[in-house]
Amino acid sequence: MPVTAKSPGTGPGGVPKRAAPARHWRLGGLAVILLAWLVVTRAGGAEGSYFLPGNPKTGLKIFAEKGCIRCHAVQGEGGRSAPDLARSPMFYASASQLVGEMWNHAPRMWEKMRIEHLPVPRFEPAEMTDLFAFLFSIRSFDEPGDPELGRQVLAGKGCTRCHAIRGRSGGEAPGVVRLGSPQVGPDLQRWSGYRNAVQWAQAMWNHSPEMIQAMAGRGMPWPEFQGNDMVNLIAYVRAQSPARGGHVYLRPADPVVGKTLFQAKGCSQCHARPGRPGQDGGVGPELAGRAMPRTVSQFAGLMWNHAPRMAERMAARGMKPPRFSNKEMADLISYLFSARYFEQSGNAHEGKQIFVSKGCASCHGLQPGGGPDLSGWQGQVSATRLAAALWNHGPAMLEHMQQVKIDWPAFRQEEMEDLMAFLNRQGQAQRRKPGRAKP
Amino acid sequence: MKVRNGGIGVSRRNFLRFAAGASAGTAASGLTVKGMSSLAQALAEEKRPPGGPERWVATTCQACPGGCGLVVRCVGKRAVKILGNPLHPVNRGGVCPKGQAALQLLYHPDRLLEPLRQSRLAPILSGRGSRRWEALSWEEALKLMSEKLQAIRQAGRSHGVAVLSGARPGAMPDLWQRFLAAYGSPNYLSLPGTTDGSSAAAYFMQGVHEPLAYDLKNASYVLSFGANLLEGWGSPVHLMRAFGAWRAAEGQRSKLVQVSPRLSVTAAKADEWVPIRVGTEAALALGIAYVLISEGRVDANFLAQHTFGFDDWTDTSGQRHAGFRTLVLRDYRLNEVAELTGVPVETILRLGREFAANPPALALGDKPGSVQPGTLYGSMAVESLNALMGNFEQPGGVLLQPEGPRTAGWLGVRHHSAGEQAGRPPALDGSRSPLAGDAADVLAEAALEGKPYPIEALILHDANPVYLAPDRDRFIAALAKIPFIVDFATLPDDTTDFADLLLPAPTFLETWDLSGTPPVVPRALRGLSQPVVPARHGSRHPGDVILALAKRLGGPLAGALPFDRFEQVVKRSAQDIFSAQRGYLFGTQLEEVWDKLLEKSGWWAPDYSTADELWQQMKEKGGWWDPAYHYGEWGRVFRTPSGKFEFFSQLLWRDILAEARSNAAKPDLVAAERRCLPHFEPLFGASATDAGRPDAGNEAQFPFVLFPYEILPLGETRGADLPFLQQILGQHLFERWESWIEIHPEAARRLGIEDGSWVWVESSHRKARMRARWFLGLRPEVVAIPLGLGHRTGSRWSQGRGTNPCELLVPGSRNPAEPPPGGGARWFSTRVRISRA
Repeated sequence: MPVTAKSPGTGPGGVPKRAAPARHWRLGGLAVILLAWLVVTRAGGAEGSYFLPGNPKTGLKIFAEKGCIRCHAVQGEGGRSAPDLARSPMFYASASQLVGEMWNHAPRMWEKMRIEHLPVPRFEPAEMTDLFAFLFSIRSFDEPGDPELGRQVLAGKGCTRCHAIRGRSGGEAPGVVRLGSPQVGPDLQRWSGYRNAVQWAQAMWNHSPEMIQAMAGRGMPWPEFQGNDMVNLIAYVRAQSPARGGHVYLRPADPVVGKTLFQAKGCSQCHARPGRPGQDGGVGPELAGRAMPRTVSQFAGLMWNHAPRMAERMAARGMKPPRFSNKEMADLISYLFSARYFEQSGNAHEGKQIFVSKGCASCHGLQPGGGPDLSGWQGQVSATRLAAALWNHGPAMLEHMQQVKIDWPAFRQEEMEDLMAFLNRQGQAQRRKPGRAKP
Repeated sequence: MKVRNGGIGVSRRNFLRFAAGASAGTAASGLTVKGMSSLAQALAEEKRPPGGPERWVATTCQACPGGCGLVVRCVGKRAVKILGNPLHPVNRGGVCPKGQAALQLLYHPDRLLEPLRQSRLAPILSGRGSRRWEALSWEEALKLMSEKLQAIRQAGRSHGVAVLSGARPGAMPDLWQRFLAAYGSPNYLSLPGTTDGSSAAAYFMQGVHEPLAYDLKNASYVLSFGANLLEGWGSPVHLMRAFGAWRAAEGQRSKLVQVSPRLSVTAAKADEWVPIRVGTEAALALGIAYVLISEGRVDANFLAQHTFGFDDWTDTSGQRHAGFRTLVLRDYRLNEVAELTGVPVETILRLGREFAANPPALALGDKPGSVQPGTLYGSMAVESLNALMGNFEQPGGVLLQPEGPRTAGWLGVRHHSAGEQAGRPPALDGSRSPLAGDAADVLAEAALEGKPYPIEALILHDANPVYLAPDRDRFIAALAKIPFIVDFATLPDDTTDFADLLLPAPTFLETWDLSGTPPVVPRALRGLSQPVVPARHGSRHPGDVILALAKRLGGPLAGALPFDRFEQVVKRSAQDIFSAQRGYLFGTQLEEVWDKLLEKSGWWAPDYSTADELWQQMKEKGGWWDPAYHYGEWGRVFRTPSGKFEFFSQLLWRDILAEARSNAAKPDLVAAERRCLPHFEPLFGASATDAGRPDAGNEAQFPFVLFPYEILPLGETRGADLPFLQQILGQHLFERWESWIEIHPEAARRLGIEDGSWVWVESSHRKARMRARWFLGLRPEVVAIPLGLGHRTGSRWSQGRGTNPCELLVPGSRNPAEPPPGGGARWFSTRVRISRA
């Protein structure tokens, strides 16, 4: 892989605050974020270690050609009459959640399209796979951030007590500039050219032991980042200081290498490997699941928040805090992000109940009659296939339902997962798993 | 009687009928007999292309600074058709007539074929300008040139060698500067206008040297102060695409208001044309500022956070200074502005309110075109409007061109001064100071006065300064003082006559190059030019000549330029792009969206992984660019002493205060202070230099203001050599192949001048005979002549055709209160009288 950015220094790190226990099921057609996809599809990538269906770039083409972009933007690029799909929903959404959102929203979408004389597009399964790959990718991307909010973060979190920007104590009220007090930490201008939150995460992680000590010595509470604090802070620093030597970006990372690093850096000594709860680790939270944040910078923020507790636990175990290069941090995060998309199956037993309670059985009965027999779908149901079927058959379905006065059902995420599990395993009831969180 | 032609019978009656119809059609098209014969001649010389395989070559147009991407279709060895490159982000497949016409330049019958030197008989006959040439080989030419340069260097006068170049920003200017630095000269002078009004305003108000850029496509309201947006301003096709976007917008479309004395194509296509007195754009801008400030329609937040000098302020010595608000409210009341500009108060009010009510609103100007630089204070006044609305660093606003990869990262050669002089002689243009003035002016002054030092040799590259010189006679006299002049040219022009050595240069369709970002485009971009066909005749790229000279001169020069061919220099520049580790190759618009999404979140995933791959793909796709613009980097866009946008320019204050103190024991600080703020400087009757002018203030004798203007086919005053462009000069009046002077019908009737009749146009400097055309799109006191014709020397299609309005301009006519970038004022401060010829 080409060289990524130079390492700028040390920094703290963190782990997610909590990882809710999650049901996981492996989907054959899940797309992963751009990071992993690019590794597989470009020369030099590790092929075969992850099933990475879908091409996000092709997905963008489909997003445009099928007309989605007429109404939906992604990070502001596109139409304005429907939600920006890179930003909405704000939280992390798995493939099944995305198809659930799509399902729930479909009647309104089709009605709007009818009013505006837009044809309802049809999708081949491969096209939908690419589209999902694109949506997953774009939803993990950070946006540039708000410098004004970043100024408030810098001031509010106390960063300016140790760090200046271009020799000035930044983060003050607008128009107020004071010379920085004797500097404890480096001038943040050093990193103004780094455009990727991973680079900041790496610097802060490596630097965290010194920072923990310095802040403890000053009686300063450890500041914690919420939401988009990290990108806003980065945006503010960048706004204040021209990037010396130009902007620095990161090349796509390698989740396979990241998996190796997870072991080699000692993360697995405390954290279970994603997708393998209960194995390894057991000290720190599981680094996967729906509790994990949506974007890279939000993840970096969680690492930071957790740094002091991690440092304490590592010290108790006689472990030295690992240090990372830019590339290593990117690879590790890529691994964690890509692994989360391999979710475990839903509950087929509960799915059968949903199939009945939502009214699906009245048309797609277990006995023939009404809508198409879905027993042929056994073992083939994925979020992308379901989404394709929704678009290809949904309008006709809706019309029929309106005629027979059946309401269009809405699904919560776990309901959609259970339903898909049922359709995949029709005739094979599954015992409810212990410890599952009830909605 | 029947005339048979290929079996088709034509009766005499029908023949005469057809002939009459053809004549009528010809007359309707405005094609004169002379023009038709020229066009016929041009078309007759078009040869059938030879057969052979078809190929398409991506390259970059250099017919103007616009930097459009081209794909050229070739059949066998011949280029047969030019189209726009759909992958190029500037023009996305569009191309203007100048680009299309470049084939006529490539195959022009009057191209210089081989190196020429002034005949040894020339001094006996009439010296330079006698047009007596002797051919010599390239070997002889290089020997002659290197011997001259070597002698100058050995005499310790290498700083006296100057290059005057019209080359586009990119690899070639960088090569010239490296050569000169290693040789020992600081004098790379560029034409037409790096130190123009808007660049100077950007320097003094924002502290930046980078060009301003504008997100035109996303602007809701565009108020153009004379900028010919659709006729060659900035990047022509890029602007036309933005115009298309304004018109195609769903919902409320963007409004374009054109403020100008003349109904240009831009004004005609705009939503509103505001006729204004010549040279009063700054006053109108400040009148609009009055509306915004007095009615509280400004962006108070932006003014508080990001500007300096809006309010009155006190400096560190305790002295109080008036701010922009005080100046505007005191000096630019609407009835006074209306009186000055000729724009009614109601219109000024409405424009101000519209400007505020339609964010993001952009004000542009006051640089009209490529060769007319605008004025410093006019440009400052226009930029102030953008600052009042806070329209910087956001979509639809004023941006700053991002710096691209250092394509000449090897420019850091130690400046060598032959003879190891201590200290470095100053550059003639003050090292490209914004206050340096026109390159031709500084050159002429140095040659004539010997200050700061004499010019020992002048090398011209892609420049025709004699045509555009503020004072042609003076400039020619200056050339006569320069011992050795070399001119790289493709065709003969007004300047080639005065060279000692004429070297045939290829066209951009035959050469390698890497162009920089075109004007006003808000992205870092590098367009690759590559040979579509091999260099024709005996032409040789100036870059190759420089490299050969460096080898001959040896020593540090050879070490500084260790390349055999200019192609290697360009390829080296591509290596620098690879090393920058950002940006993407040109691609489709969808790829642009994708690449921007990646970059905004800090990722970079290009389609190449080695420098060689990048190079190969640049040749296929046309170039490289960085598609994302990162808004809000205030530390980059405002680098003034205050770190903010300065209505009151502290950089100007430093220079003007120093000048005031050196000129007087008790300097007029109030006057000096005013010169650091945007304000209106009148064109006429305000300066000592006007005192001796017969036309100064004498409206009775010289009742008309002369308004020379650029047109797209002859942008940068180039294009008269190409029949395709001569054929489309003045579409609004069906004028081709000849100059014309536009006069308002009312004024014409008063003088008894009929439409199309011949007239004398006379300034206090010169007179010329031209055809007058009635044109309603003018203020009655204005007459207008297009720039670009009237070449005294040129090709068969340009020489002796038309009138050069530059020759009518009164020399030295500028207000000294307007700093040299306001030498743009000299274009519009000449009065003329018109009489029947």
